[in-house]
Amino acid sequence: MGKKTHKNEEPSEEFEEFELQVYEAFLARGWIIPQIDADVSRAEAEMAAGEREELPCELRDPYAALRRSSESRAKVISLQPAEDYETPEQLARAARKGKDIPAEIEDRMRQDREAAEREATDDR
Amino acid sequence: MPDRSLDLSQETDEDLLVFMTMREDDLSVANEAWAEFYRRHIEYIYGVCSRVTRGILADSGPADLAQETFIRAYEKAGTFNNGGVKDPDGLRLRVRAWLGKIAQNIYSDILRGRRDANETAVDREELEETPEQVQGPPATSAYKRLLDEAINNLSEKKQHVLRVTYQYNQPGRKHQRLPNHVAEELAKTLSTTSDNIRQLRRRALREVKQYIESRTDAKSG
Repeated sequence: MGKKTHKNEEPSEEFEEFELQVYEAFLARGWIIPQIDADVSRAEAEMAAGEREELPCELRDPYAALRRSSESRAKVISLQPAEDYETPEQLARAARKGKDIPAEIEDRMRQDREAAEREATDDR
Repeated sequence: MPDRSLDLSQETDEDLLVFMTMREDDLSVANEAWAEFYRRHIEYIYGVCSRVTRGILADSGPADLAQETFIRAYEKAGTFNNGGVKDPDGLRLRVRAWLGKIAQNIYSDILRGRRDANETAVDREELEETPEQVQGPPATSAYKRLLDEAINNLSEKKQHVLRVTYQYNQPGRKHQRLPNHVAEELAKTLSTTSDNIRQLRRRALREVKQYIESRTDAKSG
């Protein structure tokens, strides 16, 4: 078998310099996030010269953004399995097996449901 | 939640970041500092996120990316390094470059398809390091025009491959290599194989080069 051609070799130094030029062209198009001062400066100038991107409503109020973010993180945490039998999944599993649900668990389920309903009403 | 009695509008970005790091001691000052910082930079960051994700992420993508960038900046405020820059304009550029790194990290996670992108850690070392100021040789405007034409001439698929892979393979930066799972994800999107993605990338770059060379040769010949 003959030797493979050089077609698939890693780029040479010259090619790397060319890649840098393409990279800069992509930066100028806004296709790459500027991460050095000179690129930020260029992006600012391009954005100032171009059509102004209107900020969507949900981003206008910093406090609303902060609130939204902490709510979504709280949701992520609340989805983590708890240590004991009190997770909804385990409660459902107990119910599916047809076993009697202990009074304290039933009580807890009712409280959770009421709290969720209250929250939904408050949100409205 | 806003503390109207506080006016931090005269503080530098760097001082605002310091206030944010003190959130354990005084949450309302830290939140107000963050809000002021947010107001100064949100338009720029949203503009950047909007341009970079166009055609790649869904409509809400840029807003989510911008919001998450600021939240992450709050959490990582202590990692900002001014690199010795003190003048307000220079500091603004440095802060935005730092925010760009944060946005880039989150964007890379999103592209990798990580559902837990909200919770992934940002590489602290990378954020703390002073940005490398890598720039290529100055290109003439005629050359830039040709380069633009050549990029426009690429198929959408090749443009897409270059756009995504450049998020990982930035000339002059350390530790870069297209992660396998990104190549796999891209391959899935474009109904091809990961090997083909790497080949497509090389071929796209070669195509751009050849386009320019053929135009330059034709002129000089």
